[in-house]
Amino acid sequence: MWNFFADAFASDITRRALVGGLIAATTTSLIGTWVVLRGLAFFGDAMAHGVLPGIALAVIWGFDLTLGAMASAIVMVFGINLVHRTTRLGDDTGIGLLFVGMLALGVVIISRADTFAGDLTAFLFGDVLGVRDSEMRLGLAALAVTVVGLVLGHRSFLALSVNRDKAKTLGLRPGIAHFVMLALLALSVVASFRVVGTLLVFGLLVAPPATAVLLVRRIPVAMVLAVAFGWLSVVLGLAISYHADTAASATMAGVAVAQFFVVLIAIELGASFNRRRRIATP
Amino acid sequence: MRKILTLSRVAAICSLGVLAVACGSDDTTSDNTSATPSETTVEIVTADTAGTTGPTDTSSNDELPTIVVTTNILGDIVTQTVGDLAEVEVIMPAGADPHDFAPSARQAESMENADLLVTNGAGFEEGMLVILEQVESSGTPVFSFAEQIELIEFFGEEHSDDEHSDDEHSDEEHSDEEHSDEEPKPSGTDDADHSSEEHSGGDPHIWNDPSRMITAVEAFGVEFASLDGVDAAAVEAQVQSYVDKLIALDAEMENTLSTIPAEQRVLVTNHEVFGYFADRFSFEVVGAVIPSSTTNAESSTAEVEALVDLIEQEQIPAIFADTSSPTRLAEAIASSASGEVRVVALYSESLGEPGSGADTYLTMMATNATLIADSLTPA
Repeated sequence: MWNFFADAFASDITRRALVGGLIAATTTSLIGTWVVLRGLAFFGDAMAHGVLPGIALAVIWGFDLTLGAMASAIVMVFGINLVHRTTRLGDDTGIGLLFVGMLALGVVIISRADTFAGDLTAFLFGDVLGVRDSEMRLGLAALAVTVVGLVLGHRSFLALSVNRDKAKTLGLRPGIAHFVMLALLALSVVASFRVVGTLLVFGLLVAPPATAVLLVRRIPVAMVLAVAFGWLSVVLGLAISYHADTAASATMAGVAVAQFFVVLIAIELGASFNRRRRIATP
Repeated sequence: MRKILTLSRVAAICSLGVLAVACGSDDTTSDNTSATPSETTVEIVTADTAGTTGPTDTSSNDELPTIVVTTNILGDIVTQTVGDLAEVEVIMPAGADPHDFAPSARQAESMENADLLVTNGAGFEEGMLVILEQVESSGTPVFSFAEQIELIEFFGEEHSDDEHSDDEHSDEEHSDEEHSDEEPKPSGTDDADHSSEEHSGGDPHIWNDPSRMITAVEAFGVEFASLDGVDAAAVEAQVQSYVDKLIALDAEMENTLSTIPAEQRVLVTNHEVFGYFADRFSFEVVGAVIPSSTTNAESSTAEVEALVDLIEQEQIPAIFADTSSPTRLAEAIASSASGEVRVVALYSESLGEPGSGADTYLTMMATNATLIADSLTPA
């Protein structure tokens, strides 16, 4: 079995891909725990797609892609907030509108550019073999910021999840806390999309934390477990994609989701086994 | 409640473990060494999963140098030129769109481990530009066909090597020290490297002119002969033999195309792929379905309408599509233009399948010439 992994990571290129993937998975699993706990999954997905127009403009106008993605993400957050504040429509409607709007805008921008050189596939699906040094550094920086942000904001985030109004009375500033959480989410998407692509970064954001939350209750423990599951998805996903010649990011996301269902099934089996045991013993 | 959690946690970990071991046991029969498969080819975009080829026996042949080539056209040229003197692995399969194709992890590894990597260059292999950079900075020797000739601008102007951004890439960007530590050049983004605006200075579709390929093949011969364990005299002989065939091909194509009078030497193509062909054989490319050097661009409605008008005005009898790209738009344009307009698929960027009459460079070019002559020669 060791050969299965050793072969998959035998060259410089595949090892870089692994490191890039692990960094991305760490960041996304950490903030992803809050995404799962606070029901921000749809928002997370929208964010992942909403970076597209910014990226497209960055390619066309020749400035840094990450800046473009960040700008796009900011526009999304403000847009969603606007809909939420000024209308009676639910959060998910605002998110849905911005999601589609930004994605459509992105495609329009790309199609207007005469000679857009086809990095669209790389953006959507990731180019894990083509991770540059600068992107690795960005990933590490994002990870550092995320860890700091999560540690400092833990109490506020916790209060925000439990009871927003109570948080306010406790002086824990839920408004700012919410905004910071969204900002960290945007950061993780922007820093990781190069590795796994915008369509599938969502998989790493949601699946490992969801798996962790099946097993443990305490949030810090869940985060650590989420990161572990995230790493497992990356390692196993990359190794499988190496041997089976499948698309790397899709395989990683697929493994992350499969993990969830394996654990879920195991839990259910364990529970039903226990029930039967209790029935059997008088 | 706690008991259930404990039991299920154990069960969960066990099942994950079983999964991992199951995966592992499939491969315990494989060799320890990283085997280079002879030809593993997958287009990641279409998620077309080819079965894995097991370790090849020839991979353990340490005597012959390994050459890995990106495009299948160059792959054939290199294979014919080196003959028995090297092991050649070609990355892109027949029919692949080279503007799109992204290699699998195993193919990337092959490229890194090669004794010599042969690329088209000039930003052509858009799906693997970063990988090519990384391979080069990892110390693998890289030979680019496009760098051997003077590139044409897209509208027929000559382009001096001084200005060509690819040379700037190769001299400044790809030295080992610089590349691994520093940021990519500040004048553009990471992906400005990828955009064809950056490379619009040079048309990369160099293979469509056999006379230019003679120069490139000779230069390749020199590079190949410089590898360890290669018999320079044998290389020289084989290069000369292939160059003779290229010379013959050039003459044959000229002859085939001679039936087309000057005023009919007008091409409407799928994208800007025949610049060098047009330059060599005195044609004019007047329009393209995708007015770009890459198949990844799109045309606007206005551009499509302008092309239809042009076809009608000039009474152009055929649109030359690419076998490696979809022809839907070309066909829509052909049917909306009044008059009889055929869509003829040329092997413009990729060899044909075996048996198609275009599965080698020599037959591919000859076939293209015949198809063009058949379409444009007045009845």
